[in-house]
Amino acid sequence: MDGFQKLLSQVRARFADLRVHTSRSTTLVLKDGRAEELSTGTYGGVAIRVLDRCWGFAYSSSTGRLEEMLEHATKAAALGEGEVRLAEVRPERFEGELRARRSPEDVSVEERLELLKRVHGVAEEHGGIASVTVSYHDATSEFRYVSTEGAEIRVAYPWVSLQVNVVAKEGGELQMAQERAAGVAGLELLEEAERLAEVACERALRLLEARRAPSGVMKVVMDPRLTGVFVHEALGHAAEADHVLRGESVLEGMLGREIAAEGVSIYDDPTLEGSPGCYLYDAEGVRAKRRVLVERGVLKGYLHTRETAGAMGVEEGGNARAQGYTFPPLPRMSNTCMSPGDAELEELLEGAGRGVFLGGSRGGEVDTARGVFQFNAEEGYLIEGGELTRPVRDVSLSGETLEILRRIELVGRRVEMNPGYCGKDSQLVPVGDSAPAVLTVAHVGGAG
Amino acid sequence: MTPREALRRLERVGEGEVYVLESRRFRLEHTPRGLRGDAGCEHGFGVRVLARGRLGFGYSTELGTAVERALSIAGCATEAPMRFAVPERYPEVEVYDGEVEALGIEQAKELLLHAVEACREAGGTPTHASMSWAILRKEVHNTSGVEAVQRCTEVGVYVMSVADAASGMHFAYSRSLGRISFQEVGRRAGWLASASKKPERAPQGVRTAVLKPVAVAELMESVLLPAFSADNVLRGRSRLAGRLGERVFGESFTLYDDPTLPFGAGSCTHDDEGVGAKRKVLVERGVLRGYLHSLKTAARAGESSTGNGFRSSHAAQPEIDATNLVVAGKGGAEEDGALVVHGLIGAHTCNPVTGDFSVETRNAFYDGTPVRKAIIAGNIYEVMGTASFGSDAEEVAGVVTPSMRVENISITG
Repeated sequence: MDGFQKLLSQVRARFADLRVHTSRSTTLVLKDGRAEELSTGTYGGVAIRVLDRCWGFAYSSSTGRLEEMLEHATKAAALGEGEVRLAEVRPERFEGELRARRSPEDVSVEERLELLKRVHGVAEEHGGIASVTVSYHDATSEFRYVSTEGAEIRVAYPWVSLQVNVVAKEGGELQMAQERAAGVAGLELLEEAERLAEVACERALRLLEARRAPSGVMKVVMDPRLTGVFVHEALGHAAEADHVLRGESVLEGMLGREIAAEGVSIYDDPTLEGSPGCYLYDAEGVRAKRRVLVERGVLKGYLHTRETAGAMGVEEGGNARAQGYTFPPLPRMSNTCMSPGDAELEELLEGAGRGVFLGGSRGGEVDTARGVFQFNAEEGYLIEGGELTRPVRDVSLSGETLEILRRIELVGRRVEMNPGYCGKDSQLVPVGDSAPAVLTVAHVGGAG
Repeated sequence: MTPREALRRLERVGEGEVYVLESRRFRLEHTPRGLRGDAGCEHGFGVRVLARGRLGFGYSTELGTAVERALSIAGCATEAPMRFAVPERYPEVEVYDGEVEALGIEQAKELLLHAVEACREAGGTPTHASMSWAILRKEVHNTSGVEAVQRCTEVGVYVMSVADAASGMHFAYSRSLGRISFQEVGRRAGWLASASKKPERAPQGVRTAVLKPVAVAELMESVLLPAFSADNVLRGRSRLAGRLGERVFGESFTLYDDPTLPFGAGSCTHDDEGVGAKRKVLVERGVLRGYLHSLKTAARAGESSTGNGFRSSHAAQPEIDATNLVVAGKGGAEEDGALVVHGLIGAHTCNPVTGDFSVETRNAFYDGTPVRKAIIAGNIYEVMGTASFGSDAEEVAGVVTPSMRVENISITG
């Protein structure tokens, strides 16, 4: 019995668990070709959760204060008049790792910097690009989970991400674009990193020529990246069971009901190897699995922690995630995926007739209670007579979750996975959005 | 290893700096399903070494490891002008409140329940309320002789509520417990939800809008603040580059960065690089007067740091950030005939380089009637040319601002 198990054996409350997160990481930033922001270090700590009358939670960056933490968590757990019931799960015992094919730790910092310099070089070759930032991050992490039910899990996993952000300039006009690759993987993920610079530069330069987008309710063809952000913001957050239980979700009471057009199927899948939202076990030690949220337009399930599953009387869980040891787990998305349909892009444009084609995104936000969401599109084109015409720039879309899901008319056949970060209750976790292009109707808020 | 020993080790190769962050954080969360209490402590080190003009940063919970890590990576850096802070006399700023340190979890529960109750009384059903408080100790030591220690406190409260299909949210942050009205935060969250029931369609087209303080703060932080960062200015990523002394905004707009406000959420005696806090004029009656610098950008520009180098944790390098942004404006913010907007959805997706914004509104009203949904869009540099300001200044998490009336905003609802 090691120190952590010994600590848990002292717990008198009905349940307690303990997470240990540790990581070694390196961050390299190349600003306009200059490597002035290089950092490397180790990070980690312990989190303890105690369930008595309600939850108590404590964390520390040091393993030397475990007793004190347990005392804090136990005291907090006696505070409330909760009615928490945890869904039953089989306590897992597992030790293993997700392996990088080419671990950054086997490659010198100089060599990793060379990769950034190559990416910078590609951007620099484009005339009209005034400023280039290439940011790289890698980490080797270990996650350990122990519970009073006897779970004992230890998983090691890699992480790598690279982002290119460019600013194009013409006269006094500036435009910005960025591209990112990220995943639970090693340097093999960045084999085509130069391509990111290519795409970002082309977009920033195109944006200099673009005019302001129109506004109003109109037919919109969203590219795969934008559809991904839309599915994440509009449906994903509303399907998080804590929102549902608090009365903050438009999907409350909708299980088994038709909430989207028939061509719409959406699932959450943390098991996709190398993806940004990949994990083997969630932050409550539950084995990761693919979860269907919407099947052919019908709402099939929510995203659960053991607590929310227990409250709804379902034996699920497996969607608990936490940003490191300083936060308790919440129901979160991992990789949100929309299944492809069979339409070609030309058919989507033809179907629109007149409207806008929008793509790229710096993200979005949702008010789950009202079911109103906003998300940004970096660029696009007007669609006139079923064809792309004039380029437009930076615009946001908004809509009501249920309305816009029902109005999806066509679903494209090619899906694309894009990485991002998702924020909730001050916690950021890496996620993936995988989706095809779709044709729908939305509010477009241009300034033109 | 002590900071002094670490500096002696770093001195062998050049200059060095040790940052120490010790925090104790508490949080209490209330949902219809009960309470959850959190407590946490962290103690970590961030070390910078400057060897022959090359800067390396290492971090760890062990000072020795942080030192070794910084030394291991510095050699790969590009040479750049950079000096660590020199000793100076720091101003006296109220940043520590003993009441926060003495706050027990039972008392916190009572305060949070006051907010929840006030929300209910105002007609909202509270769905999620939380309160957090922290006691922090930050130290900066460097080989130029700086030994800066700052003890400060933080406290915040947040309430989210619903009423029928409408929602309302409000929050407050300060360094002092006494400056937060828990009742007022709860009441506002409840009122916003209840007043937003039975919404109607928004007016369309190019119109006038009045952004209430929370919405102004969200817009300023996401789309305007990055343009004042000297890092963006020096790299040609800001529309304010090369325009010092020019009239860039309307005459009724004045903007300060003021770390000396008593108990302000962003107040400090010195920044996380050991540079003393001072109030700076950024915009004076529409004329651009200054940018925000850290040590690195200051060295590059041949100027002094403005004391705006801040770190998000011991493991992060200093980055340029405002302390308390203070909007001092005039001209009035008459709400007649304007779309009145209390908050924004998606402000973080605005374009900080061009100043273009296009965001959904949270709790918008027209002629006192709630509006179902409305995207407002425009360009911050254009709308700020004619913006005018009310006299209802409020402190919103590090931004102190009154309401702002803006013309020619595109509204789609």
